[in-house]
Amino acid sequence: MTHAQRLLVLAGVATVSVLAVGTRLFNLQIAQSETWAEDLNKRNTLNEPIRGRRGEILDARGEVLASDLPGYDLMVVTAGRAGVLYRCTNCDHDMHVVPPSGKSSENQAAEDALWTKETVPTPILEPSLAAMNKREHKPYTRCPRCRKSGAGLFVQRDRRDLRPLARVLKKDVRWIQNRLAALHGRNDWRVKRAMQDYPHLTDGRRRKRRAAFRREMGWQELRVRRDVSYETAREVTLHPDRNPGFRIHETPVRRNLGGKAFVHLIGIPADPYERANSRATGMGLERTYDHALSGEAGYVRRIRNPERPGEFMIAERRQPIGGVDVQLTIARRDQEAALAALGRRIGALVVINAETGAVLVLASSPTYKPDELGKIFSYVSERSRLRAQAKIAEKAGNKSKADRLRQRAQTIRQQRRIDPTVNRAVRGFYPPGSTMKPFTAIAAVQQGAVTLDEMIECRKIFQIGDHLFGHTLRCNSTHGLTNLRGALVHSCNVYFQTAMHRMYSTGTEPEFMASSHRFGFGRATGLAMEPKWVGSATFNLHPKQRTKKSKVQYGTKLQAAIGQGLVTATPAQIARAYAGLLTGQVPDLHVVARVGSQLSPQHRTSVQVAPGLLDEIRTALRANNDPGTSLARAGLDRWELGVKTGTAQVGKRGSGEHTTWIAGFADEQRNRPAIAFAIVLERSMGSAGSECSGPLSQFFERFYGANRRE
Amino acid sequence: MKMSRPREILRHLHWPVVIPMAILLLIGTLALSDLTVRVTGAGMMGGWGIKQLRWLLIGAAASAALLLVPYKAIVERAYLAYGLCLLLLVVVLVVNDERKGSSRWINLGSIGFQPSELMKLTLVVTLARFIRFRSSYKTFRGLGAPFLLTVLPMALILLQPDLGTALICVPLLFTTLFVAGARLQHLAVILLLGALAIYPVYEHGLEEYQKARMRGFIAQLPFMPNLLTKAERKRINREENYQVEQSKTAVGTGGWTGMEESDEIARPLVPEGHNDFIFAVVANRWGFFGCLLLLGTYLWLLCAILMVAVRQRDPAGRLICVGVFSILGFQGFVNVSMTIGLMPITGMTLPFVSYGGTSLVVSMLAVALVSNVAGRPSFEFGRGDFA
Repeated sequence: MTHAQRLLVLAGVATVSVLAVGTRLFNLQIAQSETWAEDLNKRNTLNEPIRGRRGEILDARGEVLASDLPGYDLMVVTAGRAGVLYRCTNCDHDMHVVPPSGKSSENQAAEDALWTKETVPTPILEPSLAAMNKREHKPYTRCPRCRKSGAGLFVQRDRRDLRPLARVLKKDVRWIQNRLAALHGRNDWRVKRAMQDYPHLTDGRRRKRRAAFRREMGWQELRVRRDVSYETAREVTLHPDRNPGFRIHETPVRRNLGGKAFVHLIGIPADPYERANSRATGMGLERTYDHALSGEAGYVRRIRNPERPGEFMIAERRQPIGGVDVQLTIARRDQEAALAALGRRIGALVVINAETGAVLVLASSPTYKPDELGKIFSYVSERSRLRAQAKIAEKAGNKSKADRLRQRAQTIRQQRRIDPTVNRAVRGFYPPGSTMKPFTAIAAVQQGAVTLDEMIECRKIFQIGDHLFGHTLRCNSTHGLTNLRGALVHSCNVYFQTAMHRMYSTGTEPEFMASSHRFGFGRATGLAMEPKWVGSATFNLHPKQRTKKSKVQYGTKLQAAIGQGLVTATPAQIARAYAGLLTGQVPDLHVVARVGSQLSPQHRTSVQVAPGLLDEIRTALRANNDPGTSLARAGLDRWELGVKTGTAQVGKRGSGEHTTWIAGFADEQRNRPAIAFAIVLERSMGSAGSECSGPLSQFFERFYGANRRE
Repeated sequence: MKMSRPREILRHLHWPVVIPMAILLLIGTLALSDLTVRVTGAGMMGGWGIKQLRWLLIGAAASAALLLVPYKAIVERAYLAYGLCLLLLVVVLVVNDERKGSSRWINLGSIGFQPSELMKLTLVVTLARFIRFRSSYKTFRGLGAPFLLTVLPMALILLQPDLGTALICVPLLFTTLFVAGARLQHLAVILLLGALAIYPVYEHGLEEYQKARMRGFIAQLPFMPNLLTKAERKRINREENYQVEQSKTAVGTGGWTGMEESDEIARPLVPEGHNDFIFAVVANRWGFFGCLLLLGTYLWLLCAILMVAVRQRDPAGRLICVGVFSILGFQGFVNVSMTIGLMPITGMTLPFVSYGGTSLVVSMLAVALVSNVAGRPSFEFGRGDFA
């Protein structure tokens, strides 16, 4: 190879290198240009949201159920905790290096007197940073309280004494120490992050800049704990000498004023601070109507200062638009009456306006206080922890300890079965029991399986030919020959199972499903808090039950006629179905009467049943509340009601535990609209009449008044 | 007939290499002035721009002086210059005037002087002087002497530490030997041995910050995102790849013609934008077209230097041209590549464009040397035309 050829190789290498660089440049500057611009925009812009006033949630009578009220955040200025604190040996007066705003003791006493629960004082702010620096390490020569002076009067005191604060916070001193350590760590991280904008500095300048950042961060307020008690706020604000570096910030806190009665319904708003938290998206109406309640958030948009790239300057500011109020269809007194009537029982009570679908009561029991939610959620993590510990103990060979831990985890699981966070009124799916029978009757008559006057013999046990369904399909007593009205009054299982069997024989059972679907079984009620799966009208298995081996037996299918087996519904669905019996129209339910000035829409669908048939059913149901019946004995005959009781076996056979129902309707009376209602009680030991009628009667007493039927 | 000095200088100027150099100098000065306005808020003639002009004048004066001396006289005194430079490198280590974690400068009043930069040019001339009439480098053993000449200053530069400048010596040596006619097999074996030494050198020879740069470079390679988690990539980009990410953003947002002045969003802050990352500033300010102009001018300059080498009959003059070609080419390629994420970061300036006194003066001297070679055609012949 001649030298000219070798030089040519070098020229080739140079050209190839330039081409490679050019290609990469084309890729970066032309092909990915938009991506880089977007990335730069993100890095150079900071958007800080400004939240406006959150709308209130009101009950039907305008009483406030949820509102933003003043709350207190405990803040700390870490730099404010450095330095020396002195105590007067004469009067034991503790002094911050800066006198607490220079107030005389008389003024302080007067201010103390102002601190009552009714007045909310403005927190006393510590002097400015400049003042702090100026006075730092300059102890007094005279005690400001006892006015004594002299050598050896003051002794240094450990500023890290957190006991006074721990006392009012009701926390361990170590808890506060850990929290402060975490905040220190966060500060270090923020300094490190901020220093990334200054990589071009020389080492000396870098050190200076870092020290400046540390100072700056040290004087920034950091949140130790949100929403502390009034006592803590008082302690910190009135005694800055005892709690150096700590301050109180007054911030609005969302309060559920509806208490236990409305906790399921109102829920909690999305947490704007804790995005990683699973509860960050909120619950209940606060979540559903979050957009309307929060209004339109404003923002402050900051862009990086081109002249000082480490700083951001305000580019745009937009004021927030406050949210609107949301008014419910439920009156607080009715809801509380329902909850009081349910007492300590496990169940739910739903009352709706039969014409409009407005929910008047949506009570679920047990319930909880709004501020107990964290404790309830901690059950889950507690159970996981116990199970993990049990596994470790088992691996270590300590079987008795593992068993003990597993037992505790099991106990927690059993407690969770009575989960107070579940809104049983809309999320509790129960077999409706005999409350289903009116709808079986309607389907059977419409399909010609039975006629209104046809007499069917009940011999206590349902039989087909010679085959007796003794265990599953039977009545509690022999009803003999009975027609439709009698069957509804006596709640004859055999009558409705016979009707169902006839529908199967003629192949018209799909019409039974369609009919019950028209009454709202297996159909969403329209309430936002409802789950995606809304129960089953007949034999639609729950997704979890759908396996290859799932095979529904004929007896189970026939049990749908009496609301057992695979049929499930929520109290809200049952109440809506009975509204359909009363009016011939099934309304969509709603709990919100208006959002701002906009009224909630109403929607109803026809049940497509002949008026005569509905009259016959209503008559039969009203007869259930005639004087002399068990319900009348419980006092329900004081009001004009059409009712149907129901009992469904849900627990283990022989356990005696039932789910008991009373569902029905009431015509317009005593200034109340026509209503439909449903009450369900879990784990009942007695019959529906004895279990549910008491709470229902107690509720109606407060709902209608206690007078006798006019 | 005796010519006046300015006329003599003009006579020895080789315009095909001087014009592209002048364009590059103009681009560099404009970029530095623009950066000065943007970062420090000073006027166009304040800060880096004016300082660069000052160094430019010093460089021009030094180049003019160099043009007056026949290059052969310089070649004859190459060993002396080499020895002096070695001494200066030792002095640097003894004085230990640490800036940004390394001792590379000797303070001459208010001016900082970087002997390692001068060493590059001296090594070019020394290698040319050593190889020109020898044939020993055609044997494997004979390669030892040129390697020793190169490794000695490299070691001293590495002790400063200045990895970038030290690395330039490697392509300089190989290119010079390659053009001189060393056997390709020998060079390939040495390269292979060098490749085998990469891992031990990485593990035991590099500082922690240099390792972090390598990690950062590997993490941003196209196939790496599959091997790293999103969090790891984010951390590496934030902590170890900060400079490259900022630089790539600056280049990427340049578009066809550069970022508009009126853009609301501040331009990305490129660390060491006046120095190692000046190319990112150029790319951001003048876009793809500006980059093409810069790269095209470089290619023009390099080809012009090679053309001088092709026409040169004197082996020393030819090797000087090749040496200058390799230091300018390698330095430029590595600098641009690290700016756009094609290579890991090594502290190398972009010749003629980056701010930096000694670097600028030495680069101008290098071109002046090539011009000197081109302007003094020689009738000496080397042994067998290096064949």
